[in-house]
Amino acid sequence: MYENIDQLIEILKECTVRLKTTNESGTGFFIAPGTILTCAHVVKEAETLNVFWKDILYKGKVQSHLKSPLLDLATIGFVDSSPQNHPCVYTDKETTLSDDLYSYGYTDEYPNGDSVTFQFEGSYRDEFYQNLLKLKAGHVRPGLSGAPLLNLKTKAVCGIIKRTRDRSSDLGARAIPIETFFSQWSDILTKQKDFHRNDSRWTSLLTRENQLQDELNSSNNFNSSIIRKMVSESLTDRELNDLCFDEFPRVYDQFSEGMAKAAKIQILIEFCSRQRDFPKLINFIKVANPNNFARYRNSLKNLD
Amino acid sequence: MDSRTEIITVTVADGKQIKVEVTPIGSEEDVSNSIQSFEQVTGAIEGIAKSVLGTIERIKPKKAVVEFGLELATESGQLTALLVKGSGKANLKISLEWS
Repeated sequence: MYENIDQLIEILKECTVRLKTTNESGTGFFIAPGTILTCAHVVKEAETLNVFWKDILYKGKVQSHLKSPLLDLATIGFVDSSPQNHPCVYTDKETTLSDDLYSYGYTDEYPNGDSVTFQFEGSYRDEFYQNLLKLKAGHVRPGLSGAPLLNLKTKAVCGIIKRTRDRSSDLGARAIPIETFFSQWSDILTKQKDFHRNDSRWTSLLTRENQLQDELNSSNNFNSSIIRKMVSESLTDRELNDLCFDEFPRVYDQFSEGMAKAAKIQILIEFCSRQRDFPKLINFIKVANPNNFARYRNSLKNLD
Repeated sequence: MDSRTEIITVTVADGKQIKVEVTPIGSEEDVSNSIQSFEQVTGAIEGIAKSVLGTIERIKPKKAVVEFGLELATESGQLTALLVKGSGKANLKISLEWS
């Protein structure tokens, strides 16, 4: 079912590091060259810490730290020497109900590394924890905080393990979605994309579907007339209103009573062009009308 | 109360680390692997003793004997003390004498 998954898991393991401060230990992973991502509660107030990659000790330095109940994320760089030729994770926020997920980290019972699998059960959002992914059917022990959460369907890391739902059983866990990190550190996503353009260890294992999606998400050169046509054919006037109300409120605010569907689409296209939001619009059409999306997908981008 | 127990590492006053059996309370918690300080427990013992002493001082018995049993627990990953039943039925037994 999951092509190349064993190789992918080996690369994911290579992306992970064991972190140790005076009183805490946990897991982190290479999100970009020379940059480790983990949970802020793993590093707490520490400024430097021990980073073990492939059993070799490196001195790490906390670069930025967002220890609020809302985010609980930290990035770590290196003091003096840093690991050479390490891979980096490939990320994608997509997670849908019942997706199979995998994580790997350094726990109290298995400090040399242990695997855990889950199923995605849904998202949870409140004022305190913002948005967390809820995972079931996996046993999470202390030490797994900061471990990468791999979606076996998309073959991409979609989150960071934060909480166990019960350390003594396989009740599951909660994870911070990867887009929460990139909403604060968008420059690191650019570094990660640059890395994967030059290092194919992870991307060579992606399916053609993954690669096409990645091209769409990273492109800035879209064919607006084709997208206009695809939106027009894919959505009714009411569906267009609903989409804009939910996802593009600044576009919806410009709609007026009796406005023609074509005029609304034009406002939407101009907005997406200005805001570089075509990937978001295209992904909604992909879900709303997969057949139409498949018909147009090869002509959505202009030739570079 | 949940009968499952866990063995965790705790740092005592001289900096030495010991293993302690604890009862986890609740379920969800952040999952870094923490070394806990025993001060959280000694602080609880001090707090309970001071509270009882305050009452005894007000009623002024000639002799007072206080017994209480504590069990160690973890709540949201933090070490804590549970006041539990001792050998009798009570979890806090106080004997007072005036004669």
